[in-house]
Amino acid sequence: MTDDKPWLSLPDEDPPERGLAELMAAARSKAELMARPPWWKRALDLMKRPPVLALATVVVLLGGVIVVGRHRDEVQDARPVVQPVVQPEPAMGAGSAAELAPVAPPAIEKAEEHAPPPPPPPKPARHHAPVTKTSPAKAAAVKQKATLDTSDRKAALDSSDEALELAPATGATPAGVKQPVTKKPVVLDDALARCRAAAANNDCAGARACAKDVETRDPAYYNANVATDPTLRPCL
Amino acid sequence: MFHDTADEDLMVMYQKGEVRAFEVLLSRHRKPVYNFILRFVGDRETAEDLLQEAFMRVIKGAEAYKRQAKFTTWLYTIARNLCVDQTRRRKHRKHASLDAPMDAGEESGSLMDVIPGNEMASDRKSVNKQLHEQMQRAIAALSEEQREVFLMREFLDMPFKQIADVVGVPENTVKSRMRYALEKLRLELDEYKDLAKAAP
Repeated sequence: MTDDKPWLSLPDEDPPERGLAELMAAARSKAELMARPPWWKRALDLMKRPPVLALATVVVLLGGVIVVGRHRDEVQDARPVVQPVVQPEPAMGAGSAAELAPVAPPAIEKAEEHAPPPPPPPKPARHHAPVTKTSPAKAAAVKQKATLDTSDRKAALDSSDEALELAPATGATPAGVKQPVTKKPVVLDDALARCRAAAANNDCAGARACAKDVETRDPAYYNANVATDPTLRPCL
Repeated sequence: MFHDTADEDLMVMYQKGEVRAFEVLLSRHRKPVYNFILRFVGDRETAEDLLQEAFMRVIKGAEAYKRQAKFTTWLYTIARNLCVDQTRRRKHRKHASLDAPMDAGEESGSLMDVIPGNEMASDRKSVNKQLHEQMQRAIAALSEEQREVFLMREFLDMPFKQIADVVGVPENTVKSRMRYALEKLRLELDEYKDLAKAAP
């Protein structure tokens, strides 16, 4: 032993054997109890283990991805299918423009119904630009507008507006492609303005024709605005 | 089979119902725990009872044992608490001398007599006996707090951190108690150094 620590020379004593058997008996009975814990405790212990927690996390994440993926698929399925567009026959009098303007799918057209009409394009339509105008008549009118000089612009606008109005009113393109009837309040407002202008110029026949046209398109609008208009009433 | 297995793993195996694992734990720790208790309380019969009680508590609390906890920390915490309770219970009594007979009935001698001696010259044996006797007295004279720290550090080779965990005080406190314990013991045993050296 070291001189520094003389107590380390103290020898250890062996413990007596007394009580050892009793101890082992107690250990055995306890082991039997511990070996068979209740099912809920085993399940709870299992769930507390880190690998199980990690597995549960992965399962939850995968489940989330699957659910989100399915939801996305459902949303995509619910969307209207863009059908192939039948290229319409060129409209009479607007041949070249109709050729250039592809016909947009009905769904897009429907969306346009509720949107305000776009301002007249300042430039002529480019050959390969994606044009969303639906009817060849519209495209022709747009092209016509674009090519006219500034002095003739107002008159041309009138005529093009008429073209825009008349095209949907017929309900069919010259080529026989069924087009949805469009009701554009702004167009009707323009028609009403023209009716007023005709009535103001004592052109009652023109005003009546114009009013009839509005009535044909939208009777409700006619009753609300045209029939009650003080300028138009004498002519009607 | 389990002799190279760590205590903590053995305890986990016992939790799963493996009695053999507990047997290995018992054979591994019974002797050091017994000697720790014996040196703490200074009484063989009490040490036997406390040893039995300590392992009974291990069995009872086996279910609650967590693998993260060091087994020896847990075991010696139990043993130490039992010793502290025991010494407090008999505090009012006069502390028995180490020279006093340990067991009333049998052919008992002092604590020094139960320490097995090697075959050696009678002079040397006599000196060792005196030295051991003096050491036992010096250890018993330490305060309870110093004694437990001293026993765990010197006889069980426990790190200060683990002793701090067992005793439940900061590590620096343990070191401080250990320093005072050593100073006190060296002072007590100083005169016997020369005696030990002079012995043939």
